[in-house]
Amino acid sequence: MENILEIDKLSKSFTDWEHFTWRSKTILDDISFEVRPGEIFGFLGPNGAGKTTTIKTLMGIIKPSSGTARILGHDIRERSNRMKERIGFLPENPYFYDYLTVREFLMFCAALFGINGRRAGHQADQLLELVGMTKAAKLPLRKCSKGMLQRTGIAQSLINDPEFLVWDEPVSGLDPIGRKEIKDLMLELKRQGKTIFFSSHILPDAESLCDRVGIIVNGRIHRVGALPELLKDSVNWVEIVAENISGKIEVEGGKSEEVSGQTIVRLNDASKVDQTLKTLMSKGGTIVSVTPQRENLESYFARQIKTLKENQA
Amino acid sequence: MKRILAIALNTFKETVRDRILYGLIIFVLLVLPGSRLVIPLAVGQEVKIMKDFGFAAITLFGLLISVVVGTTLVFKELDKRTIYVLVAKPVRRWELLLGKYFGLMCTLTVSVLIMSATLAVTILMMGGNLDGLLGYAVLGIYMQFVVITSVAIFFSTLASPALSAAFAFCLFIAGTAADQLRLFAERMPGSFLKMAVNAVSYLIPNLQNCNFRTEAVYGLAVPFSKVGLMMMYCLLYALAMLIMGSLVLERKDLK
Repeated sequence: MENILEIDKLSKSFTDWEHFTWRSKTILDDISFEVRPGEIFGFLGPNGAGKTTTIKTLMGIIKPSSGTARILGHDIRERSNRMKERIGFLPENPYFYDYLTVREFLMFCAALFGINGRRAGHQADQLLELVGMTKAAKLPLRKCSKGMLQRTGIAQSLINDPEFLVWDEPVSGLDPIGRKEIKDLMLELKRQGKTIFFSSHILPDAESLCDRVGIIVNGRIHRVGALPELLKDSVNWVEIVAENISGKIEVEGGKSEEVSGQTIVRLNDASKVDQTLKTLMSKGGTIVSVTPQRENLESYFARQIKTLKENQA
Repeated sequence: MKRILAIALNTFKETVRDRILYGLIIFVLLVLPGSRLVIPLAVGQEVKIMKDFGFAAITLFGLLISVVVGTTLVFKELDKRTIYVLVAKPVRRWELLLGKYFGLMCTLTVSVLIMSATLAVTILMMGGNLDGLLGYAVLGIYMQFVVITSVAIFFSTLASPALSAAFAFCLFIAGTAADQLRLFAERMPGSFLKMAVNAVSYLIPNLQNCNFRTEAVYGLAVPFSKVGLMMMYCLLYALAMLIMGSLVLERKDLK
């Protein structure tokens, strides 16, 4: 099946007048990756890495300086309406027409897709319920909190029942309950067959949601892949729990301790697992568990950024 | 077309819910009837002076709405980043510009109708008569707004609201003296200067074509063909401005 999004060597530079000279600043530098049908793809990176610029370029808000990108088979430079009809977009820190009520705004968005009258009203009400905003339907947008605006933004991105969702920082500004609700919604949308491409700097959320992630740093794609694939080389240590072993045992490449009648071995070297298991069993022990302790996305991410900065320095 | 209509309706809502607009209209509603008391009127000339004053008031307040709102409409979309949501939807940038223009023209239509109705009632209260010439004069003023709104929106795609408003006001003033500029060009020394000033006089909108106020005040006949040509000129000028504005917006990075 064709990829939903294909980015090939996309670059974006801005030229600004600074200190009486024109200075060109490269924000995106030859980025390439793809988003596959039906997946949740997390686009991760520190502030100023180029996440929002990438999304703005994809959405036709700014033009790429070079390279190509195709969404649902359409070149983004065409700004094709056929393509836009199949996309839902949530901008970062959304701000909407503050003179409209939440429901009026959704009706307006529906009208832009040619959905009018009763159908638009029905769709708006359904989406308000989905994002937990039914009670705020008649509230003017200027009176909405950041979290409410975020939910309204998510609702407007779904008004056309899109196949592909592009959300820039969808959980920012939400409280923990709101974040969980949006994460559940993302999983539900994935279950319905939609493809989601979202940027985030909240890594635990990304870790629990994403099928694959792309990491962007200083405008360059650093890594792209499935989380287990990215984190496979990042086993910190292996924990082995055994029972029925009397006395202390010596372990090469780790240490052991006795806790509540169980022997817990911590191996810093994963290649020593087989040898340690043999030792434990030779002493009459029963193996209860072998658990590789992997680095989570947050620490992996921090380590990668640190390495990159050290290399640049 | 549906998308342009949706944006136009939204723009109309925006301007209607803007309190500045109400302030302007209330001010005009007070100024027109109130002027009867404050203007020292020559005996027998009351209605003529009221007509003149009324046309000036409609022009001034309509111009304020047209320029002030026209130059901020696109800027606000960019400044508050509401445009991001629009351009990601199946909306062409020229449709956005046209929607904004029609929305503001809707507001101006309603404003001109309210102000003209107030003027008409004031004239009737003063014992004057209403005729077709009054309608032509108001139509001429309205067509000036058709042009100046398109100019304001065009400039707003290029510059800040303050600068765009300054340009639009200057163009309005120059436009009301376009014929004089042509006369001035003929008296210029040197063929290059003559050609340059002449070219400028044709580039700026000739708003003198839209002025039927003297005819309305003194009851002079206006041929319908003149009104028709004036309307066609204004519509073509506005179309040219909107096409140029669309081209600018199309190439613009909406940072």
